[in-house]
Amino acid sequence: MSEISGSSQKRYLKPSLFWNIRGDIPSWLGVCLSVVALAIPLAAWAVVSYAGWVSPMFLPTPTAVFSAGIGMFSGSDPLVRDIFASCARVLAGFVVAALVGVPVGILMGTFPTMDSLFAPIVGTVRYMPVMAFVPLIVIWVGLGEASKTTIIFLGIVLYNAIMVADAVKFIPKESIDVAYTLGADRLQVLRKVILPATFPNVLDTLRVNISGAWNFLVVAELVAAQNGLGFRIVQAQRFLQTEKVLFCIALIGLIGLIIDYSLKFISRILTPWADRSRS
Amino acid sequence: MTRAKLSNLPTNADTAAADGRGSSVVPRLDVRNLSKVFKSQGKSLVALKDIDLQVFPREFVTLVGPSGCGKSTLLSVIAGLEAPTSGEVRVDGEVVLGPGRDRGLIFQSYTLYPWLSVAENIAFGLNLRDIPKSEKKQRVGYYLEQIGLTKFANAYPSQLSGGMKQRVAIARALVNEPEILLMDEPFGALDAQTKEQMQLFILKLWEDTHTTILSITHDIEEAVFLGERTYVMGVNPGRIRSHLRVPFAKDGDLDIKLTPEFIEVKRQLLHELREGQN
Repeated sequence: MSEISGSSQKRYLKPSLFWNIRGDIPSWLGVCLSVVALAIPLAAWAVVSYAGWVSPMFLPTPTAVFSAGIGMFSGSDPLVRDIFASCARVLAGFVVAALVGVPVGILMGTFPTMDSLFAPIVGTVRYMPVMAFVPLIVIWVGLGEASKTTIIFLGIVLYNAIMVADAVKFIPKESIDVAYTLGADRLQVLRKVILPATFPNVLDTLRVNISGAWNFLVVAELVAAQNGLGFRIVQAQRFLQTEKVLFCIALIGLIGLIIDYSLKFISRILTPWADRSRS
Repeated sequence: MTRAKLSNLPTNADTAAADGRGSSVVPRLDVRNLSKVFKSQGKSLVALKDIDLQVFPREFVTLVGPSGCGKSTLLSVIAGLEAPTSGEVRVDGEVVLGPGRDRGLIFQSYTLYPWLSVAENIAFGLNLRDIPKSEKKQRVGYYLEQIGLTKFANAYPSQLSGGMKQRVAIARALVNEPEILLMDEPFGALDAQTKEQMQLFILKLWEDTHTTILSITHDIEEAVFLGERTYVMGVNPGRIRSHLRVPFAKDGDLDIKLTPEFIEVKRQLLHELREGQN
């Protein structure tokens, strides 16, 4: 019997700094881990390439990539022009996708009728790969800028709609009911409750989906483009200029990071009252 | 205690006399023979059966019931958010067909709009109509004063405590000057001390603004302390079991809760509630 009383010893949860679930960690630890996360792959890359374990065509050295990049900025066809061209395409596709996707999402989230109306299209087209549409898009809208905008638009518009519709469905029913008892009609509920309540989520959705726009950019620039970062990548690949490919990919990543932080900053200014969860 | 089904006529006369408008006074809120049946997958569930309930102008009426008796459903039918299966709800003699600003509603959960400041939340109902700016400002100012949050006019709801949020929600409803204020467990989410403060607050507000109030709760003490009259509901199906005139002055003295008379009334209601659960 004494064994039983012995086994009933209390067990406490041991504190842990590193494996702390959803708690706060000291800022130095956060910064350290972020630095390590970048440093390890960079160091591995440097070691493998400088030591000459693989051929430069397979994996060029960091200095080769960097100097190739510098070279691309000068010369008769500077990279800045491509950056502008790509940014303009992403912006065009993204804006059109927002102008269509966000209102459709709000309608779907607000009215079950609109949900039933749009759900079959949104649900099935979402599974169709945009790549597969490229030949059709070329036939339908030609080889110009319109086809590139269309590809980016098709790539993200449905995600805009679905994510915004979900955000609307998360508005507590009481928030809407209380507006009715304060004298609001349906249009006023839509304008004065649903729109402002979903606004932070709309900004969040757009921020998440602009990364999708950059993904489809490369697909778009496969189609008869004369400039752009995706075009440059494809060109460099043809001549096996791995260092240029790597530089352009890194550049797209950097642009994405800048956009992400700017949009986060903008939404913090526009909606200081909102709690933020999605990162 | 009187078993009541519209048997509160003496009460009506009392209230009417106190109101100085003779015994033919029209109830502010008149719920008649109201039933609500929910149908799902071929089965029907009677949530409310033959509810009769009146609230007279300037009255404070409470309604207690065990959980699951349909009291929240009753309130949302009265508010017009759900339609009754049979029977009707009248406000000042007119049948209610949907929600409107004549019946303000306070929920247990905090329903302030987080993107609006305290003052903007209170002005929400006024901003839905064409009201001169100066009048808006004056009305919002009056209610900010009433709820003691003038200093917090520009704060956002996330900066307020639970009790403060509920006071703002009450002000937001009252600024519309509703015929009746409906409250659904308004202080249910608050701690005991805040709850008592809020009970005193709502009594004072009721005195000062001559509002008519119907408040539902599962807290018997609150029902007796706040209500001039109390309805007791039973379950299966949700129905009014009885109805009682509370014989205490509503002068905001918390110590009254400790008197034998008060405890006796509580005891009666508690027994009534327990019987209603079988």
